[in-house]
Amino acid sequence: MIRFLAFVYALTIPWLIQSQTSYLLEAEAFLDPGGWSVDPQFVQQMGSPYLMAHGMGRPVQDARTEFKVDQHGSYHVWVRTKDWAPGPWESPGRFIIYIDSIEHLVTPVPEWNWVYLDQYELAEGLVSISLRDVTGFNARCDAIYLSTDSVTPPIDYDALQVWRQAKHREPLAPEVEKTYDLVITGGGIAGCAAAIAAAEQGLEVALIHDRPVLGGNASSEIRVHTLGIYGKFERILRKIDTEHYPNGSAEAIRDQEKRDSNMHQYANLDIFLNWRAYDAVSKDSIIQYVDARHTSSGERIRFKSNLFLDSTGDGWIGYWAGAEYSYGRESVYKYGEKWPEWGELWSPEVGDNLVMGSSILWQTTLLDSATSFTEVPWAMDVARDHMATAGEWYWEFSRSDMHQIRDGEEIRDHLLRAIFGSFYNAKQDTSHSNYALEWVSYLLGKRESRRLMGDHIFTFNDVTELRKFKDSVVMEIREVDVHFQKQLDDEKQPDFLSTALFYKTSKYYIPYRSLYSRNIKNLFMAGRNFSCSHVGLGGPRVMRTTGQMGAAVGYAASLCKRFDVFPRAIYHSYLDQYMSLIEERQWLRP
Amino acid sequence: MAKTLTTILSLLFIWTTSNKPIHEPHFLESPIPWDRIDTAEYISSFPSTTTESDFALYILKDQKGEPLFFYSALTTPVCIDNICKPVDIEIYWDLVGQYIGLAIDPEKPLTKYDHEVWVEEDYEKLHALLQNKHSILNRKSLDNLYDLQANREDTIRFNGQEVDAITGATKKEIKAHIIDGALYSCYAVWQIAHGPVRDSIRSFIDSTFDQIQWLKFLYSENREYQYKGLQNLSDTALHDHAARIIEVLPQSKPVARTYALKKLPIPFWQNAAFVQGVYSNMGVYDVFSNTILINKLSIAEPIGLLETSKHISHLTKNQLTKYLSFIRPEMPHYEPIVGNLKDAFSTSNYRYKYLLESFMD
Ligand SMILES: Cc1cc2nc3c(=O)[nH]c(=O)nc-3n(C[C@H](O)[C@H](O)[C@H](O)COP(=O)(O)OP(=O)(O)OC[C@H]3O[C@@H](n4cnc5c(N)ncnc54)[C@H](O)[C@@H]3O)c2cc1C
Repeated sequence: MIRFLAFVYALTIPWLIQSQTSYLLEAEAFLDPGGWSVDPQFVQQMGSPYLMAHGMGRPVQDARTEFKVDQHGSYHVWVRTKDWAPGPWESPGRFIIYIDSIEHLVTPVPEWNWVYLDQYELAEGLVSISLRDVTGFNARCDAIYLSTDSVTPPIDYDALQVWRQAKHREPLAPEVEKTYDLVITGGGIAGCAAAIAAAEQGLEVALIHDRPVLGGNASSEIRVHTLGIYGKFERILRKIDTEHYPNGSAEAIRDQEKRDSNMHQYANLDIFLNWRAYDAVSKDSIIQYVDARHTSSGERIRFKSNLFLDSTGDGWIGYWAGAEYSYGRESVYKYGEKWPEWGELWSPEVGDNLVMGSSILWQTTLLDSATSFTEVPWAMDVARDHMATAGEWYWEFSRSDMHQIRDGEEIRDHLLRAIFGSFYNAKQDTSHSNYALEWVSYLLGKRESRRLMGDHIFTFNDVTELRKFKDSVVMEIREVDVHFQKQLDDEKQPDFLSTALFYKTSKYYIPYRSLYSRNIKNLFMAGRNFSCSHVGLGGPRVMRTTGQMGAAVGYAASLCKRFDVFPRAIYHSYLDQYMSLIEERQWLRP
Repeated sequence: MAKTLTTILSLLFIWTTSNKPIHEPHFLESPIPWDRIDTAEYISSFPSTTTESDFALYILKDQKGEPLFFYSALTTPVCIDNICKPVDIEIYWDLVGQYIGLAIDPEKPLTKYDHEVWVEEDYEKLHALLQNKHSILNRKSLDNLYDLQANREDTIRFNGQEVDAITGATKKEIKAHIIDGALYSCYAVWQIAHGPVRDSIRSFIDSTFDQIQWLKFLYSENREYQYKGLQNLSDTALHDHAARIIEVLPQSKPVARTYALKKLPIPFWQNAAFVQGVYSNMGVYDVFSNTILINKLSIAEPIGLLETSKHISHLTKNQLTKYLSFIRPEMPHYEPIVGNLKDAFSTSNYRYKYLLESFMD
């Protein structure tokens, strides 16, 4: 309770630190974000969470904050923003900023950049700042900088980070430290399952998750339904999975409530919502700690533990800690994952960095009367003449010149343009007059990025040969499906649609050895960043399967603690105990 | 036993029908006229996922012995879940195993569940269905499809909204492509046309076609054949036919083009004429291929840098960024390259022209 109050208190103070002549206001820390959303997805690429006006074409409510000017003066003002759809049209990212009553239209420039507004006289005392959305189409504001000095703040990522830290007078390391038996980063289905299994076994567990709700792609914010079987973990997975509603359906909200309430049943599980890990440091191949930052308040915590789980989907913890990982499609010769029927589309002769793409799900609603949808000229070079009144999983974008993490924001924005443009096209047909956009996610639903390498690399051959392992902890019967962009097979198709190739299979198994890092001694992984090849990921990336991985890791972690060993030793020295534990735990009453 | 019988019957069928199929196909997606077929040679029998017996597979050739098509007549009943039904239909595949057409014995038209005879529109639907190699029929069991078809009139609604979801898409596809009252035949024929026969064709051509045949493929106008040629020709042969590769690339599907560009060995990129030929077509290539070409600039003859500068407005942000990282004042063609960059900056609506600003002084 005390912690909760302290937290609320922290949130009510804008994250603002002032020096004598300058003030740096972080937009995500505004007192009242109004209708603007805090978007922390691309912190590692552009430097900070930011506020975004995701109004699906209707301007959102103003965001507002206040700060105290200590010294009267003439202040230069910059806004850090981005034109997310640059081109020969009025930017959809325009917005108005009010500094007290002074109004200024912000016209963003391509790429994240400081836009200079003007010089303003500010008297001592409280100054209010608000952001007014103009277009309803994803204007964004990262920070506002006011200074009596006319030097533009840095643009380059590294310089900006250093500058920011100096402006906020942050010490190098977080001042708050917390120690747990297991630190889990990423609260998708994999991370949640691991948290439950470990907490049930009595471990002190931290679950760090950068969103306000748990579930990752299965959450009410992304709305993908969970597929796959329960394997040996039905009892746990039923607490966090979903019904089989259409992807994008609002029914996800009901399953979210179930998941949230089940996840909060454990006194020894601390869930850190809206905390994003930003670093992990290892020494002698052992992770010492993970550092995380609150996505609005900017507070930081250092999480220490003997055991860490990376269930971020993107392999962030492993990446920072120096774990070996893969990205892209291997050559078909590397593991021999050929499927002659589909050749290059399945596994290419020469490897490349084309992976399965990310998606934005969206829904429309049918109103009783006609409604219009504004022109979106900045979307049309993506949508072209494609018409649509709803999305599905095959609204997917991947390109060989783009990286699913590094270029995440551009991928998300490309999909937004595809959606708004295709919906605009559909609205030109009178049969769609009553359709209105009901929900468009702004979170990228990802399928594939970094895959951390374990002692076993799970490949397609483990499926085709139905290999059984003495450490088989995960099992699945769902088809292996690998996606490719439709344009590869037919250039006339839009670039944001994909096709899935399905390989039917009997039950196959994933060994425990695919769930811990081969070079970082105390790192587990579960979820789509587990140890597998590109084609190997085709089957087990679905969320009951990734949930099985998580639960298997949770139990393994409990034995690591009991025997005071690292994950590999469970396979080599305690496998019988481990397999029996999984067996025993599956039948307990929920 | 069943296999031997099929084989004998099939051979008999061919001999008694003057060595070639007798029914003119209803559809044949090929520039080659049907009457060029002179002989049918039995190759093998292929198992079907939907029948107990095997079907005979033939290769059809012209008078000169040139292979034209693969062919099979489904003469035995097809059975799914122990229900058997005759589906008298003859199927044609091209030389890389893609379904291209069908023929029907006018005496034995296909019939529907209620014994009604198929009409022309039904055959057209079937032909279109068979051309879709990613059909939903690939994944669904027949039971599943019956369920979906039974509800096909339901509007797919979810909370009052129409949903283009997988179930919705499935039903839509089924409604659009499956002949009413003939789900069973559609399903069976699709499974046969896209089933193990494709492996039989693949293993036949891989084991019997030689470099001469692959070369013919490369020079063919059929882009699937060109792709197969590119996959099977030796490096020496590819090298000797570099000019043809330059011609083929703009016509290729992106998957074939990217395959070729990734695979061509280093000497191709050190051949200035080849580099110029290939890069000069960047304006018509797909984005995946252009990424490979941009990456290859590090090993390609410098003429590639100059050719690329003529297609700046086709480049994506990452491609352009990478391209610009190669540009150095001391390199060949620097002046004309910068000239082209300036043109792109000043004349086009190119989204990423802001990245060119540093070249404008
Ligand atoms: C459109 C689409 C349709 C799909 N269809 C299906 C389907 O029908 N059924 C199915 O089961 N699967 C489906 N999948 C696949 C499945 O959703 C993914 O593979 C899923 O991501 C696997 O879950 P996960 O727990 O590994 O990762 P995620 O669900 O991505 O969860 C990881 C979480 O970690 C958080 N995170 C990341 N980095 C950090 C950090 N540094 N600090 C704190 N938190 C962090 C992220 O916000 C995220 O929520 C689909 C995927 C997409 C995109």
